[in-house]
Amino acid sequence: MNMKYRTIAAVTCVGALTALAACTTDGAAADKALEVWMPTTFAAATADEEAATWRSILAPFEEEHGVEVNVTLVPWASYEEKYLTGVSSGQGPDVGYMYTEMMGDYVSNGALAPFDDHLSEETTSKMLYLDQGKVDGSQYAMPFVVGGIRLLWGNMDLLASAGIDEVPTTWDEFLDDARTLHEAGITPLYQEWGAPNRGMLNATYFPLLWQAGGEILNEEGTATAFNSDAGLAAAEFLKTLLDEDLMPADVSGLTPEEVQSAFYEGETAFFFGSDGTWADLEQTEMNVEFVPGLVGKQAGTFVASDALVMFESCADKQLCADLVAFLLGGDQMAEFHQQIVAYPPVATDEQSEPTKFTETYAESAESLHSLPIAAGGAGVYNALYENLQQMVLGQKSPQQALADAAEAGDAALAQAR
Amino acid sequence: MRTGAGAGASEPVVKDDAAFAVRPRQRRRRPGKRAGQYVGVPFVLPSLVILMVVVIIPIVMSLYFSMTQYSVLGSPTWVGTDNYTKLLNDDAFAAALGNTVVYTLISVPLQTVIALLLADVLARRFRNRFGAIVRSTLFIPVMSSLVVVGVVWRTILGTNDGAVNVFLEAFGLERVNFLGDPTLAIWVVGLVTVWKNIGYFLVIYYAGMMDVPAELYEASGLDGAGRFGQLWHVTIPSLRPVTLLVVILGTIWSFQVFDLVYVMTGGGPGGATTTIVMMIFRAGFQNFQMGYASAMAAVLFALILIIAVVQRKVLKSNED
Repeated sequence: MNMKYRTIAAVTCVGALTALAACTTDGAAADKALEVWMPTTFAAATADEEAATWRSILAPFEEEHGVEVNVTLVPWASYEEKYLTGVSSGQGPDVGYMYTEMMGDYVSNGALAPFDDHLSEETTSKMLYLDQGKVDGSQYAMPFVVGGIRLLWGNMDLLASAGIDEVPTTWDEFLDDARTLHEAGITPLYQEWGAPNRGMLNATYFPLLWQAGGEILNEEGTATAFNSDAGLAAAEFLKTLLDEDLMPADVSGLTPEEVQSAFYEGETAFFFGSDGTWADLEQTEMNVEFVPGLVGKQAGTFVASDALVMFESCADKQLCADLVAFLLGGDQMAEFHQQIVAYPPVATDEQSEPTKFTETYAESAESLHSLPIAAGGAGVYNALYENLQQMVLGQKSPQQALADAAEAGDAALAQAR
Repeated sequence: MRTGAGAGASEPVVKDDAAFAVRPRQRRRRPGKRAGQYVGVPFVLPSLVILMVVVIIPIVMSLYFSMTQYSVLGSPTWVGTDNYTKLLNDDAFAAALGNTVVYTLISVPLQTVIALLLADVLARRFRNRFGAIVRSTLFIPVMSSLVVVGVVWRTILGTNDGAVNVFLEAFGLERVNFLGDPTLAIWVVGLVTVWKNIGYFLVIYYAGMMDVPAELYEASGLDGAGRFGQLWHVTIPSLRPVTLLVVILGTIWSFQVFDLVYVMTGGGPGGATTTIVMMIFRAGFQNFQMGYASAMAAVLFALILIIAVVQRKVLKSNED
């Protein structure tokens, strides 16, 4: 072989080896990295603190599996858009955090993978809220943050000044107390009907619906179910509060921040808020008590059931499922609850100190509801919020508001199927 | 070659003949094939490619998606004009279109007139440091994020804790439900838009006024025109092209309003401030109906185009 051919052969070999090495390196790197998307700052921690906590929590998993786990913190404000654009463009996560309203459309479009074949009996047997993550019998979501229970908070000093010594527990008691407060010149209740997003229904309407024995959707998640006697009773309860001035007419402009602030400042005797409010209330040294919602036909209130999901795009499903099982492990969840958000355990293996609400969660377990997972669910909630706002404004009767919301909601559900 | 008669005109004839002899060759060279005619192509090519990628292709794709049922997560399914038919019968879309028109009718005339008057005062009375400070101050909202503007105004106009209502209550007046009253809310959002945009249009008008010859004002002053007369007979006619720009830009922006409404009212109360773009956002990003959202976007595009062309025609015909 002359010099010219030897040079060409050498260059070709070097080129081929370089290309092979490059492919191998890239491939290995891709196989050994997992993308996880989480919302930023659940509670009081800053994003930097939160990122550091995730690195600390995930370090043992990375070491054990020889994998790099990248956590991206997504702001709440653009959560749904970020997921939709990321997942649809192939730049989404392998494992992500989702709330129930989001999941249905991802499940129906085949973007999420079920956990059923990837989690051990040991992992699933200790989970407390597995049923909340099932869709059509498959485990598409692993409840990760179960908390934010909606409670009725009462300002005991204001109640006492009207001769009331405890927070009411039933619809009738609440109406009686509210009338008594009104006669005493005290505003009984503020609600955030001017909130820019539909999430306020979790405190204002859905608990009443469940308490009246109703449901938001049918069991299959294919049609709305709130346009019922129970739904009407819940809407009429709200209308009564407005008609009798037990709630000011300008609640249509109030935001959640304004409502909380009004309660802190003693402008209203009651408000429906979450257990997360306690962190602020504790600072005010107010004399407050709470009950886990009211009892109508039955007890019932909202609890968030946000979950970890695994995407179809995850190349190694078992590895992704192992990561989820690891995150849900007792030690990891204990650190998560201690460092990031103080919500109750989601599994039996977490050693945690009892909080002010531990007993409430335990006693109310049967009556806690989260929103159903259904494709097109967001359209239902948007329609319901808009129509109930119109009822609050006096533009529609409760019957008309529910009928119009059901029509729009059913159309959204049908479109999504 | 012509010879003989008309000898006195022989010179021009010769020239004509010479020109005649050359013409056939010039005619054979079509203008599009002149040497060096593609020299500029490499210079405009990057812009053309960028224009294609970020404007033309997205518009064409959006029009295609508007003819499909498309959840973004799955593949689009061709449905022809179904989305447009659905739009025609969608009361919510009609309501959002109505809200958008009302919002535009509130914001565009106000911001145009106020910007013009302010620019006139600053250009003719305060061409000094004070005027510069005022212009800069009014430009601050223009540079601010719409989300920040929305949050700030939401705080100022809050029903319970808002600074304005606290002020009103301090004087024993009833508080006003600025964002919770369906009639007021659209006005409030429109007026905040005026506040946000005024600095931008003021600067455009101010620049236009710099080009109005001072002699026109002097002449009209000699004719007895007062300040208002000069504004009406000199400034406004001289600034018609600027007004055309301001009105068309303002209208396009108003039809595209989203951030401010999203932050201040979320489209409420009861849908009173839901605009077309807000509906597009909900359909596309919350309800996973990107095909339907694209159809709404196409209709919005057509509406803006028609309005811009009509405005241009009307304002140009006034000018003529």
